[in-house]
Amino acid sequence: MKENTALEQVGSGADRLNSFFTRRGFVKVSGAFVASMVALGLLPEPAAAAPTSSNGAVDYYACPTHVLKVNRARCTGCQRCEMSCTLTNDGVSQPAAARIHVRDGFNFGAGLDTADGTFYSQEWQVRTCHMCKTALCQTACPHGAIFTNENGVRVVDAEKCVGCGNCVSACPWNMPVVNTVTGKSSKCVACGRCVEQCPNGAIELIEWEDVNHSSGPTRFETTFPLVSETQDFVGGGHVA
Amino acid sequence: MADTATFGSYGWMGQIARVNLSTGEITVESDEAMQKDYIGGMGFANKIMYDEVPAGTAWDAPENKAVLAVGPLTASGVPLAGRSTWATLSTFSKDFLIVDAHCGGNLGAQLKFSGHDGLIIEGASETPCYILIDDDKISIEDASAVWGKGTRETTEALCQKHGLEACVAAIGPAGENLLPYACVMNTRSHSAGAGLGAVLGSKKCKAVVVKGTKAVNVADPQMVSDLSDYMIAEVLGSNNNHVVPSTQQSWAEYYDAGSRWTAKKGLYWAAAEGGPIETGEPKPFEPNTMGYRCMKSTKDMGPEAEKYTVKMAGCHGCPVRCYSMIRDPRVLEATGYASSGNTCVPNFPFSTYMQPIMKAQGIMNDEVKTDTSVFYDQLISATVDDLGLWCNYAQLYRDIAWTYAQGILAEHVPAEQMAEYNFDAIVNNGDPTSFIKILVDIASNDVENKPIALLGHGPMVWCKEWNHMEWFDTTASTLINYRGWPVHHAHECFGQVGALYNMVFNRDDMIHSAVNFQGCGLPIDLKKEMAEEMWGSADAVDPNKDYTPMNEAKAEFCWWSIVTDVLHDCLTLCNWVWPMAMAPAKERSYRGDLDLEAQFYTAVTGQEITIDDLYKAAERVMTLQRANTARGMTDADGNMGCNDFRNIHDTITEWPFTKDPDIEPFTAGTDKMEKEDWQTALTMLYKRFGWDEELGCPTKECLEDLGLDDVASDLEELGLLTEGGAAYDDRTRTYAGCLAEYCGDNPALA
Repeated sequence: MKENTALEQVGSGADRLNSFFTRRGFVKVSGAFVASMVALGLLPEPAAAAPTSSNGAVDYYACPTHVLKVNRARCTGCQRCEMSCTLTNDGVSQPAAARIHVRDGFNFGAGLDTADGTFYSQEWQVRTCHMCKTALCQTACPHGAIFTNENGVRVVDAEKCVGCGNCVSACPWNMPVVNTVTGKSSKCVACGRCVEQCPNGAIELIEWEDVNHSSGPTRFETTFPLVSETQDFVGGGHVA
Repeated sequence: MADTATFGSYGWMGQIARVNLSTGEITVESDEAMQKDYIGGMGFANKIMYDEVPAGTAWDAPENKAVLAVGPLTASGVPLAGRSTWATLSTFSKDFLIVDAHCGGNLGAQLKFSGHDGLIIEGASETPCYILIDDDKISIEDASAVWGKGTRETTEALCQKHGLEACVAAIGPAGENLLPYACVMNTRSHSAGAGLGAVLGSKKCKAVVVKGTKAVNVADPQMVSDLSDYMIAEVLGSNNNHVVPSTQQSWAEYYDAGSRWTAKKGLYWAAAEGGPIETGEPKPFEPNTMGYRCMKSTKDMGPEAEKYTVKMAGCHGCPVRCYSMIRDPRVLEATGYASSGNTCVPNFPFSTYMQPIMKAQGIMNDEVKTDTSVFYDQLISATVDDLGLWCNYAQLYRDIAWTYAQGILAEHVPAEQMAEYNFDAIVNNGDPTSFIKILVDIASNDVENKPIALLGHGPMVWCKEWNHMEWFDTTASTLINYRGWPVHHAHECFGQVGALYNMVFNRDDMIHSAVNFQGCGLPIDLKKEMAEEMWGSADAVDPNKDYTPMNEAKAEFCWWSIVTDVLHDCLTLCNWVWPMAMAPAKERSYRGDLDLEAQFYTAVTGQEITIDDLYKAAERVMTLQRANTARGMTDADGNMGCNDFRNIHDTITEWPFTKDPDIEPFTAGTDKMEKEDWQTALTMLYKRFGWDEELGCPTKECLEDLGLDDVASDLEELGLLTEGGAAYDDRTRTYAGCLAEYCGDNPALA
């Protein structure tokens, strides 16, 4: 039999990012601008640029050095990645605040219409940070609490973060999480601890590449409305 | 280290939720006072049951409770800490006494992350309801819309309503119909049995839905990580902690065909998305291939299962992936369910338990399970999971097969129903689909109109009703105790050691500490060396089916098997793999590391403790359950309250003594037992526990030494307390550090 390689992917989801950016008009502008800068030899090729801000400024950042690559067919759903992530970065076991997401897709994948999850295909999405060149989590932060470290990785400064959730809603992949206990945002710092703890080698920390060309948003969109919104047969509330 | 002001205390979440379905009252209470002595999980649940549910309570009365609990290690990042324990009253074994039901999946972890160490369900609702726990928000919700539905549809509807990430633990029709063999299902196929489903059904409680976003705070996260890395790299084996591969492999000094370390070159997760994934030759010191070691689908169902294998999975937080994830289009066609699979009985219900009795065509080919066999097994698996139908560790399947083969069913079941059950197609035509009707009728619990449902009440009931008590004394029944449960690794596992621990609970034991060692794949000479280090004498273990008379080392080994199992159900860790008595790494002479539970406990909770302290706490929980049993057990005259465990409770069936009629006990080739030796074995085990050596009940000295003075008073009032026994420290060996010389890489020793 031929070895499985077909499903390896970086980031996660379908190829919808370009239309996303086109819709928002970000990359069109900044991309052309950066391309011309590169052509003039003023920026190295893999440089990252933030979108043009309201005053036309372009920020220049170090390019991320690493990004996570996932093969979901190898993921067995143990969720050790999530616990390891927070043990290393937060000193606690708290999957809901992890920087990699398995648990939300484990039962039914990205939605009941996907026929994924333990109850159906027995495959589920493993959502990881894309390490964007243009990090919308960062540019959306009204407090400048997400900075770029020496490895080009966007890191949350917990001192400055107020937990407003702008980064969560700005990320096309819904990756950052506001910790319900601390009220602070958390996002992937490419530490690689999840990789070390994956019993199936389903996650790899690889040299950075721009993955947004081949991946796209996997934001949860519940295509079915909630039962309680459409049907009155579920009573809700206390029976006693 | 995370601060306790933000994240709460270390290890425990510190509180237990109490939901009264009669009054609608919902409260939370501190569990701090129980932590040290009862640890969590089974300890908490048993303590609460002892204190709050009086002896003689009926299992279906509102006064019965169902207590779910987890422990300090649950979901803390410690490997194999994804399990949870329920305690309630048995629905199927004699006198309906205290039982535990363990389950994996995601239930325990989600409960912990919601900020609770436990959930006490008490009272009974008048209308169908479910309990929703969304972090601190706990509510009783109306379940009218999902009442009558299977566990899958229930899960889907409640996940649709409350979030796809929610863990739903639900009963199916079996539980709603109060069938004694009903379980609670979570995460598709993870079941908590012992009749728990019927108990929840009697409370009209359809499900527990849990969502948690909180943190399990740990005192020393770096040590938790370091110990995990050490354990996964060199101490942990495969499922059941089998530490050698099942086939000869270049890296391995030993191999053993019975091992559950079944990965090998050329064996694939053949139905994986994107193409087959080879299990290959995962080795020690390769943490990222650990999850391929156990290829459970082909191990359980035969080689034909390979092509239906999508992957392996399992419980939260466990790197040993022992759960088959199967996609068989024939099962989809017959049931509508696209996925199925398990790691225990429901993975192989027909081929292993029914086929030896029913001898259906096309299931075996030269002793190898066929493609048809996979269909039979998974069809039943998918059906019972959805019905929430428990099997009493396969007893249901043996009972169906035997009553069919003996013509007993035909005597009691109307002909038109027998025609619907179509055993002819099952046995002769390779068509298992009528099992759906059989199992649905059993789950109906409509004994009057569908007599086959009587089998779902257990052999205590149906053997008496149909006048076939001889089944208990028939080897093929595998029933090990007259109180109604079958073997769960009994005398075939180190003779008296296994037989003894099959007696101690009020259901099958689910103890794996000994059977893991038996099946680990290391040669017997090495096992004897290891036995000497751990249990004080090489005589603790015998080669398979070549057993010697009882001795004190065996009693020690049996005691250790029981207390480690109870300890794991308290902490909670998976006793299907823990304790780490052996290891796959030749570099450490295959020795395990018995201190790991204590080291993890210290790293997580911040409290210094030794493994001996933990064993003592586990013994306290075991002895408490024993006392609870004494309160409710009826004596030979039917009077409640009895302390004669030897003659009333630890009542092994006859067949282990009469099997293999041409061979003498204690000769090679048989696991036949000998009656006088058995009585000696009971005496030695009682003594080891500090119980009354004659009666097997906890003594005053033993109870008081364990800090169970109130229990001693209770038993005294009931006239059930005897003198004698010995304090824990006078009976026990020191286990702490007994394998330390092999554990140079252990970061806690650095």
